[in-house]
Amino acid sequence: MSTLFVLAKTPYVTNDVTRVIRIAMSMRKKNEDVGIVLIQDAVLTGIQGSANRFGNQLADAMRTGVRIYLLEPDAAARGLIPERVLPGIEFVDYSRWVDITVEEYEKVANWT
Amino acid sequence: MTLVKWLIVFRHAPFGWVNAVEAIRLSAAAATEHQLELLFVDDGVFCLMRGQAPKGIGYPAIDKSLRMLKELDVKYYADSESLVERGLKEDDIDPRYRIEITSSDEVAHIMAEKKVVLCF
Repeated sequence: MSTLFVLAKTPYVTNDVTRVIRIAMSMRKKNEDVGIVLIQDAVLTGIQGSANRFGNQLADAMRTGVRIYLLEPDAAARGLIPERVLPGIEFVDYSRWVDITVEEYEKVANWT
Repeated sequence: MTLVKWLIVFRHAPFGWVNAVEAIRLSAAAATEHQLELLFVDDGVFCLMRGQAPKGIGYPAIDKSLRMLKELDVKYYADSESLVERGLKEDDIDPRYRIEITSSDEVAHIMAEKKVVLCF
């Protein structure tokens, strides 16, 4: 059954991001569909740049088929523009977040 | 009242925590009465990003206050390591803050010479 995780904090203050990415990648090994929505401070995980080791973890996850979404209003609030974000991450607004929750995933694991 | 050296330290990302807004409130008061400097370290460096637009999430902006403090000649230090490990480059930072990028050794020195250090 497909799972959508929600993360809300930066990966520097909590191990949530690392933990969820690990779980998500394990799910992919079992051919499960899995997505991660980055909201609030967690949007900052998606900054592109090799020194951002958590961004590299997200990139690894995407290569295995984990879908990563990023809440646009939270990105805009923090000055994070699409050009600065890892390629492959999908920007969503609140409406689209609701859609993917209801239509594309069977359950939500709110890891906030 | 004698001028006292203050350091206010920003350690948290803005908006997800109230810390940045609270730190700015205190900074505004301290800047007018004493000799204030600001240090941005760990997630605090995210407060310095240019182009912030928090109106869309219903939060107060911090950039106006941070610019206003510069007019009072408050120095802004940003920890080099904190910027690098977050993937932030000089281009990502608002140039109006005229930040001084510092090493850990310099941070230690900056902190040691202060009478008051408050961390948010």
